[in-house]
Order: sequence, then structure tokens, then C-alpha cells
Amino acid sequence: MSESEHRVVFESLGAFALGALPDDERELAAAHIAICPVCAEDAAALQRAATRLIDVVPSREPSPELRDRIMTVVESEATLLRAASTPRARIGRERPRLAAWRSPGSMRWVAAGAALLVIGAILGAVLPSGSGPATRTLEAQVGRGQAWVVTTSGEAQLVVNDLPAPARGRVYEVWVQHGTGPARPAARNPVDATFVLRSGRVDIPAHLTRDDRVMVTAEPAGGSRQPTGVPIVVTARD
Amino acid sequence: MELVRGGDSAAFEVVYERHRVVAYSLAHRMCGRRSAAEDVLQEAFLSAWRRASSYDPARGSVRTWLLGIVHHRAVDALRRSGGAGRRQVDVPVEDIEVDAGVHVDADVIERERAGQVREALSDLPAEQSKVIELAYFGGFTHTEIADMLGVPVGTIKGRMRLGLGKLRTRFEPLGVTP
Repeated sequence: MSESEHRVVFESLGAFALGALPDDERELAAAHIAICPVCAEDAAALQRAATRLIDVVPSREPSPELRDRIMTVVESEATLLRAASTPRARIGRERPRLAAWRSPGSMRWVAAGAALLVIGAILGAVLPSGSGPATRTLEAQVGRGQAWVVTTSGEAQLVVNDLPAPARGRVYEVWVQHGTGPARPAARNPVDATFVLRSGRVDIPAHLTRDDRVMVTAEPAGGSRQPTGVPIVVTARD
Repeated sequence: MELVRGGDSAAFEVVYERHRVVAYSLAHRMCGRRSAAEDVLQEAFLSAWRRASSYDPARGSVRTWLLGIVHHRAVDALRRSGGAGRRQVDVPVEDIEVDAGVHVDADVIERERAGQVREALSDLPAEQSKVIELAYFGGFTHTEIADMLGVPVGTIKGRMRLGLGKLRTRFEPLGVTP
């Protein structure tokens, strides 16, 4: 973090809190705030002040139908998450692949220059009934844990269950690889593609196609623009 | 929020019920149309549900976090729609009238809070309150506002920083959580 970058971002925090920065400047500011406690504290305080502006807005009721639409999606995703937490979902159908991954042979495979470490990715359409025909699920096993990428009409969500904790000072980052191209952060701002939870849901802020592959790596806090670690999750393409 | 992080849909429903009115009010104020506001609210609440792990209590209340998401989504919607969706900014905050279908909350505390904000805004120099309203409720970038008002971008950023800083100084001693 350079002094000039700090100064530029610090002077932009008012615009940042008001949502008035163009996308590129907003990304720069968000990345800086993620690593600068001074700017983070100031941005949070200015954000609180900006939020008070809402107090002058007349109260309006959203329609009951909106609540129904939101809760229908939430409840279906909660069902998926509960399924991920059941012992039955952890039955070791991927054990042979995991064993292979842990074996010296697999390490030779990595050492031989394999670009990505694919950990037991399987494919299926295993959503509960009622999820809609446009929904598909990609599933991967990660150590003792599991990961799913659920895509509905291009909107994607990574569901993880019992991932190993990232090392101190590191976070998980989600990447999208289109075709044979390079893996890119799943969000324009890498920090928005990071997460630390071990079980739960992570919104993938990218419109996925059938040619896309989703990966997860451990990265320094704040995220990276290019993967610096070996992927621990790689979904297959269908 | 701990329950929401764990995937408890019933806990999320409580969060929705608690914040839906203020969240929708903001979205409607910015988008100006019910359908657009409801689209924004749906996107925002689903994003909050899926990214519950990103909520950090040290940074502020759930309300502030949620409204930040709603605001961000509404700004994106306004920018996607271009100028057509930005008519609401023509109405100054202090001149907003309650129209048919608006839920009027008689709660004294809410009225008091609104009064505090109106007073603080009116105490700002007009050029500062103007850029704050254009940015926050209109979804305009500092560049667009600079073009609109015919002043340099740096000046607009300075007015935003200064004006919002004054509001912060004014609100913080009140000890009211946004």
C-alpha cells in the first residue's frame, strides 16, 4: 500500500460511502479499505452517516408477494444446505479419488506440472424437486468436506460444508475459468470473491455458462487477481 | 445473524420482516417505481442471505449492512437504466410529500430521527447537501455530478467528503444506531 494510494482513497471515502464512485474507482477503494484499518474505520463511520439519510424517506410497504418470492428461494437453498450437513451426504463415494489425491502418485501428478488439482468433481442434477428446470448442481469433495455450485438461470452460488479452515491471514477466493482461458476472480473486485466461512453459502457474483469452471483457492486477505495457490475445489463442466 | 449464517431460513425471515419497510422505502425512493424497487429488494435480500458471512458486527448494525446492500443494488439498477430511472432526485429531500399508498408511521422516535437529519442537511452549505442528495438518492457518480454542475471532479469529491463528515460529526453524539 503506497502513501499516494492511501491519500487518493482517503479523499474518496465520502464518494465511496455515498456510492458515487465509478466501478473502477470503487474496486480500487474497496481493495484498499480491506487492508487499511484507518480507511476502513473512516469508511464505516461515513457509511453510517450516509445511512441516516434514509430517515427522511417516507415509509413504504413492499408487497406480500415479494416476501413470498424471496422466502421461496431462501427456503429452497436452506433445504440444500441442510442436505449438505447430513451424514448421508458425506458418504464417501469420493473416497477413492481422495485417497488418490493424498497418495504420492497424485503428488507426482502435481509435480509433473498439472495446472490444477481437481479434487473429486462429480456432476449431477440433484436438487430437490421444485427447484426448476433451469437449475443444475456441480459437486466436489474437499477433504472431509464438500462443495456445491448451484446455478439457476446463470445465478450461481457456492455451497460449502465443513471446509478446512484457511490458514492464518488467508481467505478463500472463488475463481471462474471460461473455456481454456485463465482463471479470473469471480467478482470484478477480488475482495468480493473472497470468503472465510467453512460451512454455508457464498454468492458467486458472475453469470456462469456451461463452459465455465468454478475454483476455490486460499489467498492472502483481500484476495488476489491471479491464483497464487493450488485450487482446493474445482467443479467439472457439464 | 448467527442463525442466518448457519442457513436458518426462519431467522432470515425475521431479519426480512424487521427491515423490509426501511429497505423498500430506500429502494423506492431511488428507483421511483414499485416494480423496479421490488426487483432491487429481492436482489438485495437474496444477496444478504447468501453472503451473511460477510456481515461484520464491528462495522455496524445489521440495518446499516442491509441498507448498504440495498443502496448498492439500487445504484447498479439506476446506472443500468440510464437517466430514465433517476427522476426521483429532482425532488429535494425536504420537499418529499407523502402520497397515497405510503405507510405513515406515527412513531415519535422515527419522526424525531427524520427531523434530526433534515435539520443537519439544511445546516450544510447548499453545494454540499446537493451533491450528497444527487449521489445517494440519484445514484450519480462524482463524474456525472461534476458534469451536471460544471465544476471539477475533485471539488465534487471534496464536497462529498466534507458534507458527509459534518453529518457524521452531527449524528455520532446522538448515539442513534443507523
